[in-house]
Amino acid sequence: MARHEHMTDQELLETYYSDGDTRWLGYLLQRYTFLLFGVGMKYLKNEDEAKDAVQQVFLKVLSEIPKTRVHYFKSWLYIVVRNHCLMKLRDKGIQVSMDERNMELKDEREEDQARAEKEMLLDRMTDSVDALVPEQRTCITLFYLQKMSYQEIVDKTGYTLLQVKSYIQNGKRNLRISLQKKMEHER
Amino acid sequence: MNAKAKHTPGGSPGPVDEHQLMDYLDGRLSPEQAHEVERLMAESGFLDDAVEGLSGMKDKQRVAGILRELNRNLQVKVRKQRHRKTHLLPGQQTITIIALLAILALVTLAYVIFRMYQG
Repeated sequence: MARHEHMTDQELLETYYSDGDTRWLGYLLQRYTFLLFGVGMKYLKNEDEAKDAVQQVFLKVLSEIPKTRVHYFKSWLYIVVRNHCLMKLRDKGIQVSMDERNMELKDEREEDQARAEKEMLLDRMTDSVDALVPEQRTCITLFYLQKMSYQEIVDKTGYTLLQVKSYIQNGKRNLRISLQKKMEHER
Repeated sequence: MNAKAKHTPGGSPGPVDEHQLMDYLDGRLSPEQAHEVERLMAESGFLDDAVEGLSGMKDKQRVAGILRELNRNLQVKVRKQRHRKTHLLPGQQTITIIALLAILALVTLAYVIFRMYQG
């Protein structure tokens, strides 16, 4: 296996910043082609437009990274591709609500933090789960504690897939807030 | 890199790769494996958006080919940028050669004048 395949995103980025060789950015971007194309498909709903969006994002990254110090590549790239897609939609006269966009970007920025919090969350969340609204409580319990897939939860509860994902996201956010409050009380 | 490449979506070392995501989209994973993918999706808006976008594709078999094409184009862009960095443009090369020749001529002239006055 080639050396770069063992390197983390951060290592690839730092290596690029130290020697200026664009091939490190190539390796880094290649890891994200799948996600970039998927996001393009979600917003633009057209294969050719999604492919074009990915190519434009590649160009933007190759031109912006040398001028900008990026610390969290994944979050930064997510914002770049989303902004590009949203701009394309705006050009077509399609509006996307700001609230929805900001909420989802916030979730992405919280991703690293979420991983670190996960273990603690699992240990302590059973106490806080009872405080959730019933739909969120059910979905959070089935997903995180009973490790069911979305489809199994859909089959068991009768909720739609979209509802299940939403209850889990919102339940998770409420649990985090509840745990943070508890921790502040304990200090 | 094609859709069967073994790396984590999002780039960091981890348990899920693009091949596994394609299996997820095709509904070929066990509930336990699907749960693992969905756990990552619940932590990442980027991954969640991407899976949602790809799940809306009618012909998912095309994804691997599209990714190969995009990655080929990416490599072309990277090669072009590297080439621009490592090779001076023809105009720049000419200017560099003229400057070097001028410096060489000045040094030679200075040496000749110096020897004349010494003699």
